[in-house]
Amino acid sequence: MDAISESDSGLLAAARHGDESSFLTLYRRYRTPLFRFAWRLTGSVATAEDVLQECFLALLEGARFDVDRGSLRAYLFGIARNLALKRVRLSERESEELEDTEADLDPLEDLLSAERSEVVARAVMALPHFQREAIVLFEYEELSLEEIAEVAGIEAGAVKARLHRARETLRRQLAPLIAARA
Amino acid sequence: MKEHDPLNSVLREWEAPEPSSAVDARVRAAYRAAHRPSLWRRIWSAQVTVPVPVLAAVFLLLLAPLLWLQFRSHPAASQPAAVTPAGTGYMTRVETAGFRPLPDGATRVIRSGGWKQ
Repeated sequence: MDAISESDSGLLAAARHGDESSFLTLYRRYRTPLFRFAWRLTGSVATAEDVLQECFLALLEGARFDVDRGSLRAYLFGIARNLALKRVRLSERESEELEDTEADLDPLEDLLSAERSEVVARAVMALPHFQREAIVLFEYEELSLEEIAEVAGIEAGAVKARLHRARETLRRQLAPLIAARA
Repeated sequence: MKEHDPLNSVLREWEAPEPSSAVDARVRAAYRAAHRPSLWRRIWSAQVTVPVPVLAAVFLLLLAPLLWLQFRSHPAASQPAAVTPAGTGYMTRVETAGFRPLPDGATRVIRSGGWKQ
């Protein structure tokens, strides 16, 4: 158990007993990474903020976190992932347009009409959900393969395969940007 | 997997916004609502700041009735015994003036009315 995990579990125990300053320390430590993750999965600031709030309340109410079985960071990303997934599925049910996004993506046109970050965002958002969460956790939040496996509840080998497929798709979709940068 | 791949630098161009301060306030309010301590706990952990002169005055006010009660129930032993007014009881007066013990230490009993000078 490293120092952060140790302090995380201490802070969590105190927060569950009503110590607000411990809760706020934990919250400030993880709010931005969790928000970014939820935002990159859902594409909505409002939804990401809802996920962030529910994530911390679920952490305080639930008693299933065991410090010996993994880090609090991975545990929190796991909660955020499930909450975001639930919302993505709800919005997908409401509109089916996401399924066709990848087919409609035209990087060259995007380069002309929108900023580069928008092109990247659209390419990542167009990935299948599980590949998207793997690439977001690995590339943007810098979680290890083992941590992503813990978050997603799968083997590290499966994470590696998802990452490989996601990167191949992104490489194709973002080829003009990559070529311009090379 | 990540070293020297131009894809990584391209992916970095997608920057995420920061969460708003409104969500911070919401989360804090939700925490307080969920972890509001019980009335007894709040009373037990409540603290009051009292200036020392006020505390001393309160202490004296509390102490004064106790001292007064104590004084009333046990008057001072140095007070002289009150003389019983005539007609309200018996009074025995023993005078030891001119008293001399007998030289042989023997006891002599004198019956009532048996003393004649």
